Amino acid sequence: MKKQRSVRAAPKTEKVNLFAQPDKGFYRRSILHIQCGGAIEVENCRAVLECTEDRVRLQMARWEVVLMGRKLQLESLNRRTLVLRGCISQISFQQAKREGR
Amino acid sequence: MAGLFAAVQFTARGGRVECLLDWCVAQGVPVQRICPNAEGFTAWLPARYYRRLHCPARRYGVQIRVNRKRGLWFFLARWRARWGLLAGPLAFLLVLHLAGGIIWSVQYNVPGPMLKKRLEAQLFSQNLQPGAAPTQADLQAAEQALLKQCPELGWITLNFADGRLTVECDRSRDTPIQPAGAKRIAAGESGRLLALNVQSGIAVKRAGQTVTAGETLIEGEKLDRDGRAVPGEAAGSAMALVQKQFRCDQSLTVAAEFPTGRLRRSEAVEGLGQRLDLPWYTKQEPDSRWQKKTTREPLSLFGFALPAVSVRTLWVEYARQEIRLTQEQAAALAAWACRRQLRQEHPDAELRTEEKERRLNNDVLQYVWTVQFEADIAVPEA
Repeated sequence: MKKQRSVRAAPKTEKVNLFAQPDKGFYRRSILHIQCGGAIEVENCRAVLECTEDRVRLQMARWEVVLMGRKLQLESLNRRTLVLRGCISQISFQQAKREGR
Repeated sequence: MAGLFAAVQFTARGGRVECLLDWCVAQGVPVQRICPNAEGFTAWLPARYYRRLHCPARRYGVQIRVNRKRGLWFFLARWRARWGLLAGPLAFLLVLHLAGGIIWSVQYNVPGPMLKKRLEAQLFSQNLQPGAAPTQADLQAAEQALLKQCPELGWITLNFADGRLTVECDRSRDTPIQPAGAKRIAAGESGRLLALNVQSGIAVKRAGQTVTAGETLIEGEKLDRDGRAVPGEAAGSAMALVQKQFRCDQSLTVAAEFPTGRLRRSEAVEGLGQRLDLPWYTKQEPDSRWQKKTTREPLSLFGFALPAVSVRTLWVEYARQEIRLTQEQAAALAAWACRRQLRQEHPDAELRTEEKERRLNNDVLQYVWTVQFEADIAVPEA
């Protein structure tokens, strides 16, 4: 009797389309960059919830970012980018709350 | 560059200042350098957006106030009621720009201060002085006129750029150009040859020989094997030691035109092609016994040249007079005449020795100048 050989299945590979469009809302995601020089850059910041010299609270998509430190200063503020400078000592994240405005 | 644009620094106090910031982000108002403080924040903003902040600030209960202003607009706004003060510098810049076509200074690159003074006077007579506005045609015409009036100049250029007129010239070379086609070079004077420089032809004499005037020094023609003359060209120079005597009879009584001491003068102003005679100086032009001398000077105001020249004309009356010379004066005049004669005959002469002899004979001083000199005695003959 002839021995049947088992055919090993080829591993499935995910095809990556380099020319495809990114996911929906890709460019509107909030991104936080921390630079070593003491500057923090936030892309697509939804709102500034609190702004004092020692504490800045920013609303990103689903999270609130609380930045604490000394001599905090918003260097630039526009729709796309927020640049924060100062001596930052602590960063904390928390779930975003609905705040009535 | 950023400092040129109008920007204001404002303070936001009380109320919900964060909401005001969010409104700025939503409306695309570029707020910069936000410095939080105990009551709110201070920030910089382009001045054109500041009025738009009033409405949201009232809505969120925020009090905003301008602290500082920056930019060219605010700088100019300080002069809003004093436009005359601002118009002064602007008018000055405009005049500076328009005055680029006017001669502000004249730079001379000429050999010798005497030539510079002479050229300066000639340029004044051509109406090229500080303050004038010459065209290219004027400069070319002036160049031609200067070459005619100063025959010793080989070339001259007038370059005018950015208010500066540059005059450059050089003297023409004194080297005489020997006519081409000379058949022989003869000796112009009798003397002893010191050096014979043959450029073309055959030397007949040698250095150290004594030659007489008219004797051939360099022969152009040469004979071939058959004894026939082959025409050629003779060229060269012959330095020789020459001894020559010059005589001059100088009378002790000299009749000549001398100034009598009477003067007349007139003044005028020339500029922009016009001439204005000053009436309090202008007088009727005298007759031919008066010799005329004209001087031109540029007019200036507080050191700045005006586009005009002051023309002063001086008439000096001359009259024929007889004067009696002393023997020394007559000898000096006679010596000067002898030297002038030598320079006319041999411009390159270098004196070796000289002897002077004078004798008074019936009110006439006879002056004899015996001189030994080195000179080029070569004379080309066709």
